[in-house]
Amino acid sequence: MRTSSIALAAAALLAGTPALAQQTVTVGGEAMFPNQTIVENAVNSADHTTLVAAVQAAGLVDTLNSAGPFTVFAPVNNAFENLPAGTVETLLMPENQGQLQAVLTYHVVPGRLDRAALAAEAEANGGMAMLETVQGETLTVATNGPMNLVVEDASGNAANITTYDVYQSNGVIHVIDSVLLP
Amino acid sequence: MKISFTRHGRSMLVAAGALALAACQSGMANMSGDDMMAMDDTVMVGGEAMFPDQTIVANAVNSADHTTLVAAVQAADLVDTLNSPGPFTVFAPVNDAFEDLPAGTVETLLRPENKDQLTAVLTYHVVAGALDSQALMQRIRSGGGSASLETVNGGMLMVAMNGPSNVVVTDASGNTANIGTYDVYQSNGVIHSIDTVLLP
Repeated sequence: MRTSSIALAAAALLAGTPALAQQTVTVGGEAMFPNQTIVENAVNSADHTTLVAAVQAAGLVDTLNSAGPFTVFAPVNNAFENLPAGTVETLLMPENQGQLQAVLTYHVVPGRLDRAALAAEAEANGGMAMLETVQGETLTVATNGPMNLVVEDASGNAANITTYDVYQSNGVIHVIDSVLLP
Repeated sequence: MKISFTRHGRSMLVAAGALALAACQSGMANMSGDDMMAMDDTVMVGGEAMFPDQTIVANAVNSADHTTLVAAVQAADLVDTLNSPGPFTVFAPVNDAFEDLPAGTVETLLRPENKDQLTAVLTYHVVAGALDSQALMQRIRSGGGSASLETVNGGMLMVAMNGPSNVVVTDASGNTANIGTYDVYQSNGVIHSIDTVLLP
């Protein structure tokens, strides 16, 4: 009895189903599948339509579908709405594509840094981890009380992480509530 | 000892440790273990430190992200309740959450003639007892993946895991709130800041 249940568990583990089920996170009302890419998943989140439109306008779809892996701090629509009026419209103009790319790639860090990895890096560095983004400038991840990590941009704007560890085939997404500006 | 320039609890703890060490070396160590614990538990919300030795309302009024909630609590005359010993667990929606409600909802709820309805909505976000993230996750595990919480309003909220690292709160209609800040300890309970208003 015991042996067979262990065998069953091992078989299930080999099939990958428990891990997959446990790691499938719902974002913006939709399941984000860990065997799909960052963009394939993000397009399904009702909370990230602005981000996805921006990624498309910036010509970054292929980059974020590449092997990576990447860690993406993905601001929700409300985060973009909290920017000064006209900011998003201005960034989406074709002549501002370079600036839009800079803002978006400032939310992307090379490597797959899940919550545990971010927390470990922060712990090892006195509570704050400096992350070099794909844009080139640095984000700071800091602990906020015993259970939270916050992400701060160069100007000190702090984003809370509302959904941690949305695993992707080419990285991991953390959903944040503020847009970070380089 | 209260430090107004606290940025993040954990980093302050480390900074405080370094400070205490420096103070020891200079013969001025005067920081108690309680001070260290208090700082470790002090969480930033809406740009301000939420002190674990203050009440839910005393802290919430300082959060720039919770001005709508605080105005609603005042309009519903729930300040005394939320300042009482409790303890309470409060799922505290941010301003963006109220803005996501259909146009006119907040204005309607804030009218004096709708005070009962406002009270019902607000107390639906309050659960008796101090349930921090560990306690919530324990209940979720015990419940086989989800747990029902009876609110002060009388209606039920459901908490569940969303992947390995997140707790979500779902109301009777299936609206799901993410927790943007967990475990904001208060003298009379604990606050979890959420991104969606829950409706009974």
